Amino acid sequence: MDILKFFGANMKTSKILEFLRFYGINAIEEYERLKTAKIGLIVNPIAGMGGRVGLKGTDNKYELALKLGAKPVAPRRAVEFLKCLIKGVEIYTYPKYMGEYEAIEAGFKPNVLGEIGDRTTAEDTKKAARDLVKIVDLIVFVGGDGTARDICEVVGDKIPVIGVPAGVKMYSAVFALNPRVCAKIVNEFVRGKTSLELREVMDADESLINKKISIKLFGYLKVPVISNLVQRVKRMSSGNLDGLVINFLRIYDKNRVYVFGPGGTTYQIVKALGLEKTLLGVDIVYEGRLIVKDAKESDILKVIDEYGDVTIVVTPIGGQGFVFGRGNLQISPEVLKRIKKENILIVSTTDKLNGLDCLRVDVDDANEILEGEVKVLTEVGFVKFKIKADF
Amino acid sequence: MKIFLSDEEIPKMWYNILPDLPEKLPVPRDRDGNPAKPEDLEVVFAKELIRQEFSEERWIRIPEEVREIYRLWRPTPLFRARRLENYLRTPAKIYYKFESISPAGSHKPNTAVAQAYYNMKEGVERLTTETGAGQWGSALAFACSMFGLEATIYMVKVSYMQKPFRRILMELWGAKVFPSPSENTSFGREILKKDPENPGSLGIAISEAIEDAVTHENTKYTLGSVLNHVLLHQTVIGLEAKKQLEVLDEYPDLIVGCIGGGSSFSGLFWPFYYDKVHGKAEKDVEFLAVEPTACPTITKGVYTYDHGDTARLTPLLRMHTLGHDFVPPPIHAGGLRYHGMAPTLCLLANHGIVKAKAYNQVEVFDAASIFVKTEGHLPAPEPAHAIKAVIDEALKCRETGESKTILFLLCGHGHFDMKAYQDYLDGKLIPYEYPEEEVRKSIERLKSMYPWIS
Repeated sequence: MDILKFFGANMKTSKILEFLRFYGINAIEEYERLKTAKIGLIVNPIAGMGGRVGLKGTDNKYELALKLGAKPVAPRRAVEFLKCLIKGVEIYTYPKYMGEYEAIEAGFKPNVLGEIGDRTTAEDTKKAARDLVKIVDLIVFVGGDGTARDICEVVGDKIPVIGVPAGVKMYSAVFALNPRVCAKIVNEFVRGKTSLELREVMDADESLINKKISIKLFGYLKVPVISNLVQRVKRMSSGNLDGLVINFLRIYDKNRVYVFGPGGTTYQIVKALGLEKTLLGVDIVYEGRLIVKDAKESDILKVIDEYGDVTIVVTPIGGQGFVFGRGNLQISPEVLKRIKKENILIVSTTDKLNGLDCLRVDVDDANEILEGEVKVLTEVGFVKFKIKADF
Repeated sequence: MKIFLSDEEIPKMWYNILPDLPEKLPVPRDRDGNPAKPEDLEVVFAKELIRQEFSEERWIRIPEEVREIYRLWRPTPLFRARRLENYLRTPAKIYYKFESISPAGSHKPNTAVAQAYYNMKEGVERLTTETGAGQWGSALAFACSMFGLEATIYMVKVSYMQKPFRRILMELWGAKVFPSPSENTSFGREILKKDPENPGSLGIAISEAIEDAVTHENTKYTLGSVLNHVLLHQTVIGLEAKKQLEVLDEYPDLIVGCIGGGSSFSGLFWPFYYDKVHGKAEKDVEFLAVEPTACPTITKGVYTYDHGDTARLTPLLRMHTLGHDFVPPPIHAGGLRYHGMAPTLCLLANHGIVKAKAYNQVEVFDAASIFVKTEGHLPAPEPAHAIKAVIDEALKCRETGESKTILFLLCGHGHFDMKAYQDYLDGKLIPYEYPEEEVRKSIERLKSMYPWIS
């Protein structure tokens, strides 16, 4: 840093500001931070691709995801983030779709480091983190839990890190609620207005997914936060699940098609129907039978084509409140656009609801259909709650 | 019951605590570790104010011209809060010094008038300063209008847009108010170029006000808190209060005030500290500073060396710190999340001479609401912190049966803080607590960088 140089003819101002530091007044720091803020950007271009095609993560499953018709998610989200960022910051990133292309598209002139091959791997993420940690003030990554793990392994709490949510699984507490909110937080970081918290990096053990959710604490990242604009770690919910299941059975119509989203709550409901559902997958039930297990986006669309009217049953993610856009990307904007809002049934225990200020969705152009007041089925009956998409 | 003094009883001297501190205050140093030279400071501060800043004189004469302006509202009354005492059913006697009746509505003009006067005497024509919500800015605007000086106020942009009433008040006194960052300074222009949406901050406004003063003839800069000369100008509060209590044959057992930068509370308690140090105190008076739990600098901070910037180039300073990477949450008592703190107050707290307590804003507004309903006067959210501590002490007295004499400072009214009260009535206030764990981590990081820190 060279404040004195910046001030040039203005050495005197600098001296006064230095004097005031003695009294705890730090005026220079804010300017200095804004002047030189260096933001590292790591996009994991394949993150999130597995979501709509029913994979629980895209690590090592890129080929499969492609084969199943997956399209890139992260680059689009990265551009959305970058477009809302203060133009004065310097971007340091890795080549091509790991950040370079996105930064250029958003109007930045990025400093591009390193080299990558045609297909990116976890190693590339780590390599990028290793290079960036020496240069930048903050790393922004675009990806999911897997990307967070790779970065955590290299960066630890050396410099602040924040995630733009773009993955399939996002149990970690290091993600902003959406790309725009992430830009808001980074802008405030640059202005010196965030505080830093050590936040959990979590990851679900993919090999065990269909038997039992095993979410492990992997480590911590130092995350800039503005009160509740960074999603908290997913809370394992408890509460009066039996009462909720009974209330669901009261309104259950055997002759309808039900699409059940992931989670422990829906798992218990389906179990009460005498069926074994996947914990982290989307499953479709009709006439007391599990007609599709671990459904992809295309399966759901097919069922809608075939049966017309279907009910989607989802439960909010504990502590975060997401009902769509996290952990159930198979229920895509296209699916949601073809469902009547009254055919979306949100189920939750009151305990889980009490920990939330609102329900959240993050499903691109389907957001507006979902926003507003909804009725949530709980163990005490229906309660009114708000769905928000703009944080 | 209230005690008034005559105009003649406005103090003739300010009290300066520096010669009576338990240890010498460390000298401000520049980035190379050299002590600050007064001539460097003369660029922006009036010579007399710099002299007072480092003065070891115990008593400093108040110019007659300043006393003349003080007369517009001083001496301020001392109230006994009988109705509050009755409501609390406490045997404690509660007195408060009432600074809300100044033209700007707070204690701030006590130093603004003095600073404007000395600058005028030295031929300065224009004063610059920064202001957040406008408390200090309006005090300076008022003071400048009294001595025919121009005032240029850099007001944090977000407040400028959202809190127009104090801005209008400043403009009525003739001040020019700019939203900061502004196009007036290279500092502001540079920031706007990089970040046109920047909502501004006190730090940026300070930088702009200083740059404006440095780059213009006959222009100086003023600061409304933390500096020694500012604190000593405030001692008119405590000196008057002492006289008023004497009339009643009373002496406080406990003195309470809120702290942001520390100037109002210092103004109240310093004269009683003088008594204590010189064996003149009738009782072993205690001093209690009250701060918000959202920014608990003294209660949870650590008295250690901190460096001012993330690049760690500033010479280390010894003061209470929550770690330099702490940013307090946005509470309504804006004056108490000031990022500076008077070094004298840190030192006295470290010696155990000043005790500190922290309260969250919900309990503070509860206390303010009791006060409004009993005493009628609407306190600003800042002194409502002191009121909360006083109520707690008074309730303790009810349990023990002690008849303590408590003196506190109502340093300003809350007429411009209606949004805060509205949020309180609507149940929208959040009782922020700053987790001790975070302070510990921040200090650990500091220690790992500077292993010699104790």
